[in-house]
Amino acid sequence: MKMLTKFESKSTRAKGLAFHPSRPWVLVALFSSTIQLWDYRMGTLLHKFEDHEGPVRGIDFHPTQPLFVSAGDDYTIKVWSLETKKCLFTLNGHLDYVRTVFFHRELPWIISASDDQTIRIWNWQNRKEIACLTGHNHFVMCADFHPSEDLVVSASLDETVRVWDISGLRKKHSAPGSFNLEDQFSAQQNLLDGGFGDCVVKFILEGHTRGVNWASFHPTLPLIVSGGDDRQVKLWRMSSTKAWEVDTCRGHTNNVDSVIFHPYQNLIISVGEDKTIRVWDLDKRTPVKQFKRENDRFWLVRAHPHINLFGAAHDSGIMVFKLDRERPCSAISQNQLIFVNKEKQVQTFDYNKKVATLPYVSLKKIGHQWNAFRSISYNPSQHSVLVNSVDSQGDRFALCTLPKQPTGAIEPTGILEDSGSFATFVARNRFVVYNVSSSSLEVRSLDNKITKSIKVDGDSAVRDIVYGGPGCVLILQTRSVVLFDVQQGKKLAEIALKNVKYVSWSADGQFLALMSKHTITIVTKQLEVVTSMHETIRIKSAAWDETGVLIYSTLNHIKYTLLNGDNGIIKTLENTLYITKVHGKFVYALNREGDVEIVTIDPTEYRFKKALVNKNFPEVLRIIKNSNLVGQNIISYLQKSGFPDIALQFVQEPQTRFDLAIEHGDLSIAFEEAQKLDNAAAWERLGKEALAQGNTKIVELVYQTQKQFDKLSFLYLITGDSSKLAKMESIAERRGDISGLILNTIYSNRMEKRTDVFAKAGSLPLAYAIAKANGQSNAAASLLEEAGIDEQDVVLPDTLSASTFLKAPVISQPLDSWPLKKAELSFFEKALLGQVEDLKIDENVNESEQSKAQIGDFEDEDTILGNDESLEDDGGWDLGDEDLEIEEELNESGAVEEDSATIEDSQLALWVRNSKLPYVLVATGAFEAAAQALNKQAGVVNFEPLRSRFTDIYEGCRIYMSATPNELSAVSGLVNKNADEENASKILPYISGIDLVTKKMNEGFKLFKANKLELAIECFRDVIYMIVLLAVDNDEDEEIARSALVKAREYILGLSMELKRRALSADDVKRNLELASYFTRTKLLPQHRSTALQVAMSQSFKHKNFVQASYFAAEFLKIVTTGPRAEQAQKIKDRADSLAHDAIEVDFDPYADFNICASSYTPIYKDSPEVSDPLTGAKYHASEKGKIDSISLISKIGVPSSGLRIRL
Amino acid sequence: MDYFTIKQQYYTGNFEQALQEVAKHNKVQDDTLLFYKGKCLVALGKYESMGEDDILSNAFDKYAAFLSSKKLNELEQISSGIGSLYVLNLLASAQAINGDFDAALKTCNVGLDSEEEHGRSELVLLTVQIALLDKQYSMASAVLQHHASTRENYSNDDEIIINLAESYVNFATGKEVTGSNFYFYEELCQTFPSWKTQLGLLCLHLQQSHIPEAQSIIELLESEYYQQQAEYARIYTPDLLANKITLTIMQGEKADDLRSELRDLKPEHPLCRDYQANNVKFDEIVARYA
Repeated sequence: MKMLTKFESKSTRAKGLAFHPSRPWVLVALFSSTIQLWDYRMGTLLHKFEDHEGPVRGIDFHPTQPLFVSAGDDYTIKVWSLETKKCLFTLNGHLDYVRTVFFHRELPWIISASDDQTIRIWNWQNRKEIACLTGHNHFVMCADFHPSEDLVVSASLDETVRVWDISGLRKKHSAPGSFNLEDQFSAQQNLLDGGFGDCVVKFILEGHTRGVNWASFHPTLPLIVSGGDDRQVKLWRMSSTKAWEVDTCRGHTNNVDSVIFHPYQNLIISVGEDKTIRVWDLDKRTPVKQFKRENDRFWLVRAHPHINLFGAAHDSGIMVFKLDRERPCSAISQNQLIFVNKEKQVQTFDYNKKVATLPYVSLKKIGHQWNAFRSISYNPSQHSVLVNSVDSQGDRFALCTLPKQPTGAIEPTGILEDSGSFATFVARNRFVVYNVSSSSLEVRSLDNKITKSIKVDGDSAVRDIVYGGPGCVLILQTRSVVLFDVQQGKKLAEIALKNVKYVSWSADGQFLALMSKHTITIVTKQLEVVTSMHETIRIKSAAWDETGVLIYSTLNHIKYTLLNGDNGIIKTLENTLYITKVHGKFVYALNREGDVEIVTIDPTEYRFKKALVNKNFPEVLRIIKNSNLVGQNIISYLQKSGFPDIALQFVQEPQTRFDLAIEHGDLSIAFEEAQKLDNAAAWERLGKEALAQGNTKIVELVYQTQKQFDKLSFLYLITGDSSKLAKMESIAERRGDISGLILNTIYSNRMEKRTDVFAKAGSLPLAYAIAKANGQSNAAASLLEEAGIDEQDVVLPDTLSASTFLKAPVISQPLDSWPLKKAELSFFEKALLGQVEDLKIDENVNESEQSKAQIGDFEDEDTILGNDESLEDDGGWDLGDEDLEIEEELNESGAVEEDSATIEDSQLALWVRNSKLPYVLVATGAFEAAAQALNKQAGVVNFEPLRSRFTDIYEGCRIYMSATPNELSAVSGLVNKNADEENASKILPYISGIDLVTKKMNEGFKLFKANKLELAIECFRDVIYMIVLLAVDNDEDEEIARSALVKAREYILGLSMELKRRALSADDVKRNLELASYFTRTKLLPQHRSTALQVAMSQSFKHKNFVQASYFAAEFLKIVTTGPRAEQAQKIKDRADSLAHDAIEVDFDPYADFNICASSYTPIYKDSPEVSDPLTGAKYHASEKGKIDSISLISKIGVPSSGLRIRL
Repeated sequence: MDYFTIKQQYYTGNFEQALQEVAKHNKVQDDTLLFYKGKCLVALGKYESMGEDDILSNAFDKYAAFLSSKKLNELEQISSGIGSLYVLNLLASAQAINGDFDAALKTCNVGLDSEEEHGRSELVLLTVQIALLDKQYSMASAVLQHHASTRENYSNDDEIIINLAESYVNFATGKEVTGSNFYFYEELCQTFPSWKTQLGLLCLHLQQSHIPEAQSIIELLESEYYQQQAEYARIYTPDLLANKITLTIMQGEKADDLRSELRDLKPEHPLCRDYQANNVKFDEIVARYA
C-alpha cells in the first residue's frame, strides 16, 4: 500500500477538518480560533472564517446545503453560510468546551459533544436544542450519528463508549403536524429530564483502560471502532440486543485521538499523538501500513464522503492523502485494451465492438492484498501479462498467461513470480526487468532466464520503465528520460526532464507525450522536444487520436493539444478518467472503479485547427460545411493565425465581416459590408485600403458616398481623369465652394477660370496677378479697368511667373486601377470553387427522370432481402443422394486430387478436402471440377459470363509477399476464411460475405429507381452470378442469398418486359397494355411495384381501358396511401369507375393465377404445360425447353438438376 | 564486426539507408559488406560495378549482367567450385529467377552442406523462399528448423534474417496469421516503416480479412510520401497492385483495370501468370459446355 499525499496546509495546530461533499474543498478548524477553507486541488486558501473565541475543535459540512457548522472552546456552536461566508447563527447551551459537531445525513439536525458531559442534538432550521443526552460522567470527546440508523455513538474520558437509541426523537420531530401544545410541553419536560425517553442509552461499551477519545460507526456493518489514551484501537460488534468487544489493535505508542473505518475497504485508519497514521486490516486486526511525521502529533482523521481521500489534522496543519493508487493498470494491444479492474481481475475491452469481456483471471493472489498493481505489460503473441506490484520486500513482478477465452475470474495457472521492478515486454519472447540493487536492466526470456544484463548508468534513480517501441524501452529517471535499445544494449536518445511518470505513444510511433505531474512534453521518437506545456491541475493521462492530436485528461478536464502547442479544453469531467484511446469522437477511458467509460467529445475544434495548421484546406472546408463551428473564439483564432479569409466564412455580422475582409484585403466583400454598415469610419477605412491597393474605382465610390469632394478631385488629378476633374469644377461652382473651385482650377490648370473666380469673389488684385502672370493681357486690362487702377500703380512681386507645375497627363485614358499582379487563388478559395462544382454534380445525380415516380425513402433496402417473401422453392433441396453422386464424379474427374497431390499437405488440399462447393473448388483453382458441379447442380452450360467471377474468387484469396531479394518472384500466400482456425478440418478459403450480395442488390434497386433499366438488369444478373458461386455458413445467410436470387430473377423479368414495352411501336397498344400489366405481376418490392402499377394504370387509362385502369389504381392505392401520387391514382380510379368499360381486350386477367413465360412474355395459365429453369426457377412455355435461360443467360431451361449448393 | 544496422535496414527494404551504413565501414572491406552493398545497389537498379577484383565482385558483375540478359552461363562459370556462400547465393537467386527451382535448390544445398559460416543465414533465407516458390512447403520449414537447431546462437545481427525466413514460411503456409507473424510485421512497420514492411503488414492484414486496415495501408503507400520514394515505388508497386487486386475483389469491386495495370508493369508477376493460366483453363470449359 502506498500513501499518496495530495495536499498539505501549513498553519498552527489543526484540531478538526471536514471535506466538502462535491467540491474540492476542505475546512480546517484551528487551535488559533480561525477556520480555513482550502481548495485542495489548486492548493489555494479560499477564505478564513473568524468568529470563534478560542480554539475551534469540531467542524462539518452539510451534506447537501451550502452550510457548515463549527464548535469550540467558547462553548458555542456556529452555523455558517458558504455563500455569504458569514456566521448565520450561534447555538448556545453547552456549558463547557465543545469537542465535535456533525450534521445528520438527512434530518436538519446537528449533534455536539462537550466537556460538560452531555451530548446535545439541535435542529438547525428552528435553531432549537431538541435533545440533551446525559449519562457520561466525564468529558464527552466525540459523538456522531449512525449513517443510516437512529443511533448515536459517543466516546468519553469516563473510559466508555456509549451507543444511544434516538428513534424516539425522530418520531417526535419528523411529524411536525402533531406539534400541539401538549407535545411541546412534554418535549420541554423531556429536555429537562435529559432526553430520557427520546434518547436512551442502548449499550455501554467498557474495555478501554483510559479515557476514550474517539468512536465511529462502520458505514454498513454493525461495527464500532474506538481509540483511547490507553493507546489502543478497539473493535466492537453489536447486535440488536447487545454489543461486545471483538479485538484490539495495539501499536500506537501514545494516545489514539481519532479512528475511522475505511469507507469501502476492510481497513481501519487511526491517528495519534505518537505522530503516526496507522492503517489496520479490519479482518485480521493486523497493521498494514504506518506513516509517521517527525514533529507533529495527529489529532483527527476523516474520510471524504464520496471519493478515495482522507484528511488528517496535526500540529502544523493538515494533510490530504489517499491510500494507494486508483489508476487501473492497463495496456493496449491492437484494438484491445487489457486492464485490471477493481477486483484485480484482468479483462479486455474491444474498441471496435465497444464491449468488455468477462474477466480472464483473478490476480488477487499476486502481490500484497492491499496494494494496487503498479503497471502491467501485455504480450499479444503469448497472450500473457506482466504484472508489477510492490510488497514489503520491494518490487515484484509476475508473468501470467491468460486463458484463451474469458470465462470468469478463475485462478491463473503457471504464474511465474520473481522480484524485480518495472517488468515490461520488449519483444514477443523477451521482457526486461530492472534490478535495483545492481541498477541494471535484465533481459529475460519467457521462462524468466536472464539472457542479458545491461548496466544502466545515469546518476538519477530509475522511476519506471515503459515500452519504447520494438526492442526498446524508455527509462524514466528522476531527471531524465532515456530511450534504450535493449537488443543492441545502447542508449539511443536522452532528454532532460524531471519526474516523468507516464508516456503515451502516437499511433504512428513518431511522437510521444511525456507526462509529469504538471507538465506534458511532446517529443519525437528521437526524444527531441516538439512542444511542452504546463498545467496547473494535475495531468492524469493522455492518448493520441488517429490524426495525431494529443488528447489528455487532468483531474477535471479533457483537453487537447496540437503539435504546435495550440491547446484547449474539450470537456469538463465529473470524475477523474484515465484516457486509453481516442478514436473519432470517442474517448475511451478507465475510471477509478476500473470500468471502461466511453466519453463522446466534439473533435471539430481541434480537427479544424489542425487542418488549418497543416493547410489542409479541403478538410477545413469540409468541417465548415458539416459542422456548426461558430463563436468569437474560433474567429479570433483564425484571425490570429493569419486566416482572415477563412474566418470570413463563419461570420454573418457585417462589422466583423468588414474587419476581416479589410484584413484579408478583399475589397469587394469589404465594400459590400461597408454598404450595410454605412458609417463614416468604415468608409474611411475602406477608402484607405482601396487607395493603398490602387483600386481607384472603390476609392471613388467611397469618396462619392462620403461627399469628400476635395479628395475626389485629387483622386481624379492623380489618376489623370481630366473630364471628371472638369465635372468636379462645375460641381464646386454649383455648390458655391470657392476654395474647392480654386483648387480644381489649379488641378486642371485653368487660369482664366481662376482669374474669373477671384474677380467674382472680389479679390481683384489676386485675379489681376494671375491674369498678368499667365499672359492674359485682355483679362488683366479689364480687371484694371474694373478696379479703376492704372497699371503703373500695381506692384507685382518679382518672382511672378506663369504656373508651370502642372504636367499634362502622360496617359490618354484615366487610370482606373493600379496594375497589380493577379493574386493566385488561395488553396481555400480553390477548394471552395471545387466544392461548388461538386455540389452541382450531386444535384444532377439526384435529378433523375424517374424521381417523380418515387415514394418514400428507398435507402433502407438492406432489410428488404430479409422480408418474408416466400421462396420459389421448386422441388426442395433433397441433397442426401446427390451428395454422394457429386463426390463420385469429382473423384472421377480427378482434377482436384491431381492438383492436391503435388501440393503436399497444403492449405489448398485442406480446402477441397473440407468442402466441395463450387466456390471452394474455384478458389482452389480446380475450375474444371467446379464447372462440372455447376452443370450438375444448376444446369449451367454457358460459362462465359462467369469468367470474371471465377477469376475473382481465385484471386480474392491469394496474396503476394515481396521476396528478398526483390528480383525473385513474390511468395504467394492464401487467405483463409478464419485466420486463426486451428482445426484442420475447418480450414476453408476466404469467402466474401453475403453483404456483397446485399450491396449489389441495393445497387440494382438504385438503378431501378434512377430508371436505368439496362444497367439494373445487368446488376441483378451479377447478383445471380455471385450467388451461383457463393459459400455461406449459416441458415440466415443462405436464406438471404436464395431470396436475393429470386428477387433478382423477378426484377430481370419485370424490367426486360418494361424495356420491351418501351421499344414497341406506338400503334401496338394491345401488347403495350399487356406488357405493362405483366410487369405489375412480377414480385417487386412494394415501392417499385407501385411504379409498375402506375405505368399500367396510366397506360390503361390513356387507352381507355378504364376497368383495368381502375384495378391498377386500386392496387396502387394499397401501396401508396397518401401524397400527390395517391391523389392522382384516386382521381383516375374515380373517373375510370364512372366510365367502367375497356376499349381493348388484352390478354390479362387480373384475378387469374398465372406465371409469365420469361422468354415470350406471355402468361402461362394454370394447367398449361410449363418448364422451369434449374438455376433461377424462371417459368417458360414447354416449347422453350433446352434453350438458354433468358434471365441468367447461363443455364439451360428444363434440364434435370440437383439444385445449387451454396451452404458450407 | 557489427553489421546489425546494415542488415536491419537491408531486410526491411531500406536500401539507401543500408548503403549509408555500409559506407560507415569505409575502412574495412569484407565479403559481408560487399554482399550487402552489391545487393542494395542491385535492388535500387544502380549497380554498375564494384570495381574490385575478387570473386564476389565478379560474381556481382555477372549477376547484374544476368538480370538484364537472363543468361546464366557466365555466372555459373565464375561460381563453379567456389565455396563462398555469398557467391552461391547469387547463383541460386539467378537460377530461381529463371524458374529452375531444382537447380537453385541444389546450389543452395551445396552451400548449406559446407562448413562455411559467412552468409549462411542469408542462404537459408533464400533457400526457404525458393522452396516456397516451388511449393515445397515442408522442405522450407525443414531447412529453417535444421538451421535453428544446429545454430542456436546465431548472432544478433542475423536474427532478422532468420525471422524473415520464418515469416515467409508462416505466410505461405497460413501459420501464425493472427499471432507472431502479424506482430513481426507490425513491429517492423513501427521500427522501419518502408515499402517492404508495409507490404508485409498489408499481406498479414489481408490474410486476416482486415479490410479497413488493409485499405488504409494501401492508401498510405499510395500517398505522396511513399510515392515520392520513386526507387522503392518502382520495385514494389507490382506487389502492391497484386494485393490491391485481392482487396478490391474482397470489397466486391471490379479489378480489371488494376489487372491490366499490373500486366503492363510486370507481366511475369505470379498473379498475371495465374490469370493467364486460368483464362486458358476457362476457355476450355467454355468450349466444352457450349
